[in-house]
Amino acid sequence: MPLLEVIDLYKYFTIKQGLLAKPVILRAVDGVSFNIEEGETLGLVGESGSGKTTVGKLVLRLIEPTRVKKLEFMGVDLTRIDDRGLRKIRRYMSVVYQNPSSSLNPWWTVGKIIEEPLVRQGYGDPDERRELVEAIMERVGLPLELYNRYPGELSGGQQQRVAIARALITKPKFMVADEPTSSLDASVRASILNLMKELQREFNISYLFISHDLATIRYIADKVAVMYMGEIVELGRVDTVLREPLHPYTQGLLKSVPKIGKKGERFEIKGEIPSLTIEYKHCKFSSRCPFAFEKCRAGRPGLKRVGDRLVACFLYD
Amino acid sequence: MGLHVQDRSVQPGIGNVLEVENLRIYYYTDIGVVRAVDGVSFSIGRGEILGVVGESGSGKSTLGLAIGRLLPNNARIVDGRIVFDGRDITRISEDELRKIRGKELAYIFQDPHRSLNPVMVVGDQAGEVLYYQFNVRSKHTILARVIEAFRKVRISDADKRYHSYPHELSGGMKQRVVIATALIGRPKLIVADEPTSALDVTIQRQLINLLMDIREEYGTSIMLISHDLGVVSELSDSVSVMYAGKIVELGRADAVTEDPLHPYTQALVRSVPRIDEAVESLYSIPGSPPNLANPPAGCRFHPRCPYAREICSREEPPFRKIGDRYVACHLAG
Repeated sequence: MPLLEVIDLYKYFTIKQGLLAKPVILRAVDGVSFNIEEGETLGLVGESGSGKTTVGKLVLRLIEPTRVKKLEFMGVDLTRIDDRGLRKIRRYMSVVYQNPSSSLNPWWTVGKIIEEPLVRQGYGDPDERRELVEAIMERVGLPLELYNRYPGELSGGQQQRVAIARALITKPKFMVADEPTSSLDASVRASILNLMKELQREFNISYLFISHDLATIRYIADKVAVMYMGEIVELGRVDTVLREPLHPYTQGLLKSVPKIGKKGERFEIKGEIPSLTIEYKHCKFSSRCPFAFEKCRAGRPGLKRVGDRLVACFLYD
Repeated sequence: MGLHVQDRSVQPGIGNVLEVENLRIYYYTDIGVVRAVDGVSFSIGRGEILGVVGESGSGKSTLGLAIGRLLPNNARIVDGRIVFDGRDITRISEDELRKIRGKELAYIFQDPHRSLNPVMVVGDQAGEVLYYQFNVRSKHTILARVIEAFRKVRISDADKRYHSYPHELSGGMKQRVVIATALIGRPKLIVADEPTSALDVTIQRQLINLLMDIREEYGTSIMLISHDLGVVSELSDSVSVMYAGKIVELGRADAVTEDPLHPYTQALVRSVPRIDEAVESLYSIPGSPPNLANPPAGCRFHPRCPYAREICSREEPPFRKIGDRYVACHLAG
C-alpha cells in the first residue's frame, strides 16, 4: 500500500473580477493521479501556473479539493475525515516552504518555533520538549547558541534549517517541500539538499518535492511528475524521464534549461502558457507543441503507460 | 570577437567598450565601511558578452550599478577608473552622464517592474528614449520605431501591445518590453543584472536566445550579471567569478566553468546539481562568506578553502595570468 494515493484530483478556483463581471473558473489542478511510497521522493516539476503548489496544499488538506476519486494517506481516506481525525493524522505530515523568512514567526525564538508543533500536540513537559528541540537542532546543523535567537538574526540557510527542524520534530512520515532551496545561494542550496537526503534515510520520510528546477529534482527525487496547466504529462523514474523524455513538453523543458559547458542550444518552446480559465477539450500543450497533429486538437490525451512510465501524449498511441 | 582576455584586462585598447581598473566601491553603513567591490579590473570588448557570476554579497550587482553611476547614496567609488568608450565614468559631469545613459549604455534588471512605469503604456515608455535622447519629435516616427523594436524582440501583436499597461502583460512580455526599450538607443553596452532569473524555464530560454540574436545582429556588448552558472556559461564569451568583492578568476567561459582553477570556482561548480549527470552528493562549501566590513586578511576565501596554506592568511594573492586566464590564488598554476 502506498503512503499517499491520489486519484483524479481536481481543484477549480472561481474568480470574480469586479462587481459585475461574470465569475471565471480557473482550472488549477485538472485531474491528477499519483502515488508516493514510504521513504520515497516524488519530484513535482512545472512552471508557474502548472498547479504544482496547489497539489501540495491539496494533499495536506490545507485546501479542499473540488473533487477527487481517491485521496488516501496511511490508508486513511482524507476526504471523509472529521477535524479531530485530521488533527491526528496531521502529525504525520509536514511542510517546508520556499521563503523561510516569511514562514517563520519573526517574534518567536528559534527554540519556540521548533518546539511549537510538540506543544500543539500536547507532547511531554517543557524539559522533555527542550531535549527534543536541542537534539533536532543538532541533527540539522544548527548551533545550540541559536536557541534564543530570532529568525531575522539568521542567514537564509540557517532559517531553512529551522524550518526543516520544525517540520521534523514530530517525526512525520511525509513532507511537502515547496521550492525549499529556490531562494538560496548555490553553496547553501547544496548543503540543504544534502541534509534533506540524509534525513530521509534516517527518518524513512517521504517527500513531495515541488520545484521548477529540473536539476534539483534530478538530484533529490526518485520519481518525477511533470506538470503542465494542471495536468501531469509525464511520470516515471527520474533518471529515465530526464535522460530520455517522451512528452514533447518534457523534452522542450529539458532543452530549455541552461547547462554548464553547453553552448549554442537554440531550441525553444514557442509562445507562453494559454489561459487557465478556458475549458480545453483538446491537448493543452498542442498550441505550443512542435509535433501537434489533428488528433491533438480534437481530444485530450490521458496518462497512458509507455514502457516503464506514464505519458499523456497521442504520439505514443 | 574579444575572446583574448589576456590582451585586454591589463592593457587598455581601442577594441574595448569598457575598461575597469582597480575599482573600489565602499558602502558607508551603521556597521562600518563595507568593502563591496575591492580592487576589481576587467574589460569588455566590442560585441563581447562578459558573464559576472557570484553569490549574494559578492559585489556583482554593485559593480553593475557603478558602470552607469547608479549606486545608492551611501556607496562611494573610492578608487579606480571606469572607462566607457574612452570616457572615465567616475570623472564626467552628471550632464554628460545623462547623455550616455539610455543611449549608449542601457540596463536590464531582474524585475521588469523596477524599469517600467505602471501608469504609462509600454510603447510610450520605450519611445521616451527617442524623445529625450535623440530629440525625435514626430509622434508617427516614435510609434513606428517602437513597434519595430517590439517586433525585433518578438512581442506578438506589437502594434496592439504598444498601448498596453505593464500589468496587462506577462512577466516574459514585460521583460521583452524592457529589452526593446534598452535596444532602441542602439547602445554599445547593456548591463543585464539577472535578466532572466524571475522567469519560467521556457521563457528564460526564449530570452537567452533573444539576447544571443541581439548580440549577433547589432554587435552589442553585454555585461551579464547572474548567480546561475548555467545561464552565464551558455551566454557568455568570458566569465569573471566574484567572491567577497574581488574577481577570483577570469577567462573564457568554457574554460572557467568546465575546468576551473580557483578553489572557490571549483567549489561553486561542484555545488550545482546537474541535469545531464547523476550526482551522488553535492559539494557544500563549509562556513559562510566573510563580513565585508571586516574581511579576513590575505586571501578572502582562505577560511573556507580546503587547500589553504599559511601564506593564504597572510598575503593577498595577486591576480596572475595562468595560461589564457587570470586567477587570484597563491596555489594555482
